[in-house]
Parts: sequence; C-alpha cells; structure tokens
Amino acid sequence: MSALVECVGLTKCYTNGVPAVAGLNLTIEKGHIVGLLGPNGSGKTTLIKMINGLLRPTEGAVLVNGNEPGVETKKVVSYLPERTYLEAQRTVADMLAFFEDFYEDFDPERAKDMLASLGIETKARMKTLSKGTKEKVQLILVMSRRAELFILDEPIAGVDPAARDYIIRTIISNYNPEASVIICTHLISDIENILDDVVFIKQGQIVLQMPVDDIREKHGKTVDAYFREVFAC
Amino acid sequence: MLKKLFVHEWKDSWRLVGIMNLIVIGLTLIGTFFLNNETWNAMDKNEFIAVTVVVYMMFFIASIAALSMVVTFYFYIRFYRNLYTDQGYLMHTLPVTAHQLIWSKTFVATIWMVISTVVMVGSIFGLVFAAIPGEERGEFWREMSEAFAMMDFDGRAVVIVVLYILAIIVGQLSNVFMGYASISIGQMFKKQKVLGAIGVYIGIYMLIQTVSSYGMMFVTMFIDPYVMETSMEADNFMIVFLLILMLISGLLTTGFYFITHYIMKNKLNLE
Repeated sequence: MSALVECVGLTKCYTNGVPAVAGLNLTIEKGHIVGLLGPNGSGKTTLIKMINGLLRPTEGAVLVNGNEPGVETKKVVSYLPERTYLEAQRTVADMLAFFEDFYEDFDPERAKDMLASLGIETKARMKTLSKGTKEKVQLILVMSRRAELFILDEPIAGVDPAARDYIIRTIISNYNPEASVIICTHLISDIENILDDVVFIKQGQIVLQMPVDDIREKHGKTVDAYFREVFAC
Repeated sequence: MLKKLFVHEWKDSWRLVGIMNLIVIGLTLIGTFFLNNETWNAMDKNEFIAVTVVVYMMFFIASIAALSMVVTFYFYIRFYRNLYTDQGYLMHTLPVTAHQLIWSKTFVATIWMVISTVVMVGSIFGLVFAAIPGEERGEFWREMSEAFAMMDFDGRAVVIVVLYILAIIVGQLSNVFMGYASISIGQMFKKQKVLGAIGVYIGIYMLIQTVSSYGMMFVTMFIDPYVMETSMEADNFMIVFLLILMLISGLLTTGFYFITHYIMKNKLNLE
C-alpha cells in the first residue's frame, strides 16, 4: 500500500492566532473509504481545504501522490464542497462540457446515464433546479471523474433520506477500488456501513485513526455510538 | 488551459455586454435612418415627432451611459463572484494556475472594453455625422482632410500617436488590475467583503490621485522652466511625458497584478 495523502506536522492558523489545525499527521492509503469525523470547528474543513489547495498551511506539509497541492494534484482530486458552485445561468449540458474540457478523467457518458436515471434534463438551467437537484448534479459531476482521490464534504447533509440513499449508492457504484474517498459528515450512521476507516479529529488534531471493523470488534460499538462517546459534551 | 478558460469566460459573459452593444448599435441605426429621412425635419411642425425625438435621445444617451457602466463594473462583479464566492470552489480546484485564471478574465474584459469603446465612439460619431445635412457632408470631409494635411506628420508625430495609444491601453489594464487587486484585498475581510473591496478601491484611487497631483505640481515647478530654458521642442517633451506616463502605469499594473496573484495563491478566503 502506498500513501495517497500524507500530512506532516500540518498546521493552519487564521488571523486570530488560534490554530484550526495543529501539527496534524495523517496518512491515507490508496483504495480506502475514509470517514473524516469530528464536531463543529474541529478543523475538518480547514484540512480538506488544505488538501485541495484552497488554503496554504502555516507550517508543515500536505502531499497528494507525493506532490504539494497544485495543478498536478488537482488533476487527480475530485472535490465536492459543502457549497453549491454551479453558475445559475449555465445549463447542465454546459457543466458537462466544462468538466470534460478541464478534467481528462471525466466520463461524460457516465454522467449522462446518472442524470437520465434521475430524470434531470441536460437542457435545464441551474437557476430552474431545486437546491436538492443542484446538489445531485454537482455530486454526479464529481463522481463521474475517474479520479484517484474523492473528497466529499457533507455529501448527504440537507437532502431527504431517499436522496441520501441515492447519493450513497452513487458513491459506492462509482468508486474505483484503486481510488480513495474521504467523506466528511455529521450523519455518521447513514454512511458508516460503507466506510473502511475512520479518522476522528478534535481541535485540529487526530485523536483516532482506525479501521471501522476494529472499532466494532474492540469497542463493541458502531462508529456512531463510539463517536458520541469520544466527543461527549 | 488558458484557451479553455478564455472560451468558457467568453461564453458566460457575452450575453449581457453583447446585448448592450447591440442595443446601442440598433438605436444608432434607427437614429441615423431617421436623420437621413425627411421625418426628422418635421420635428418643428409636428409635436408627436418632437416628443419622439426627445424620447429617442433620452434612450440613446441612457444606452451609452449603461454600456459604459456595464463594461466597467460587470467584469469586476464577475471576477468577484466567479473567484471569491461559492463558484470559487470550482474555479480554484481546476487544474489551472492562478495566472491563467487572472489572464483569462483580463483578456475577455479587455476585448469587451475595446469593442464597447469602438461602438460608443462610432455611435456618437455616426449620429453626429448623420445630423449634418447631406449637402454639407462634402464640406465636412474637405475640412477634415485639410486639417489632417496641416498637421506635420513626421516620424515624431507617428511616435506620439503610437505612444498615446499604448498609454491608453496600459492605463486601461492598470484600471482593470486595480479593480482586481481591490476585490482580492476585500475578500480577505471577515465580513462585508464587497464593501471592503469598494473601500480599498476608493483608497487606492485617492492615493494615486494625490500622488499624481503632487507629480503634476513637480512638473509645473521644475520641468516646465527646464523646457523653456533649453527650448526643448514640444514634440520631444510630449514623447518624454508619454514614456513617463506609460512607465508609471506599467509599474502600477505590475504591482496590482502581483497583489492579485499573491492573494489568490496564498490568502484565499472562501467561506
């Protein structure tokens, strides 16, 4: 197994001086589905932003495939942010063309199949779609890449249970065993069945990194129950 | 990748600016058609035609003013929304560099500024020319060609014209990057990022105006007497002046560009 993501002494301080991520060390191997779990303000989003090159570390380093975040890493990382980034005036077809132009690993046929299965018209403009449908379009775009690393920030937050099932099925069915997936969410019980490993993060530091099976065997608990125990207020 | 960014930026931005340009062209064509027609001359006799002409002129002036505003602010708004709001999560995770992001937007904005300037100047000239009675147009062209003939178009005059055009282009680029730099500084604010950007823009503008006012005072106090003493020719003075102007604009443009690039690369603050 080789490291796909490697964080060494990773630190990020914002202007208030308090570190959002403090000397974090983390290695994620290829071929794993990892749950990045932690309470609000624990540093999950800051960590994800640094892996994606949206924030520069104050200290330490983050490497994806041995490279610092930049053009090369962005070619292999497919990122679903919590926010909807689709421009209102664009059509779904425009977005397919956009992804096809910029990402060599984008598979438009796969995206069209998924859109058709949900009955989403490619001619539809983003401004005419509901919030939930826009989120699905965004997920389809992200998951239609044959990327090496998928980073999904709250992929099932704010959608109804039926849509959650669809999203989880999409993640599993499009997952390439050679790739890794980092899923950041609060809705642990909904996704814990698909996770290989979990990473618990608290006050910008890793407090636990463990295979899900080990949590069940050693602690006799589900990930959700164990999370509640570790982060009990 | 720069070409792809340019194409998508063009596709996303052509509608509003393109339509605004078409409206100005359309109104100009309507105006020139009626100015070349007897209808216009009936203005004094027919009140309906007189009111229509006033309404037309109002629309024409408003369309020119709106186009001028749109080309100035629309591309700043696009720059902000596309790179520093939610859309930034997509744009900054594309496999492209910050330089490519900035230049793709600059090329599109500059092209539309040039097109819109040509359309605005052409429309005003077209309407004014159409207002000249047909029999006097020959006289107009004769006077124009005589005026050009009187000008001493030696090598230096050509240099001045070329430098003047270059100074306008560099000045325009300086304005564009001043906006980009202000927006980039503004996005670093925790709240009220747009207001922050406007504040920074006004601050930089006032600083430049203050420095250039003192600069002009310096020219008046020291350079003018030198020119008088050494009887430096006006042409040469103009060339030196334009070169200094271009140098200052060039330095400002470079400074604003690197501020924008540095912030985009190191101080991105997406919510």
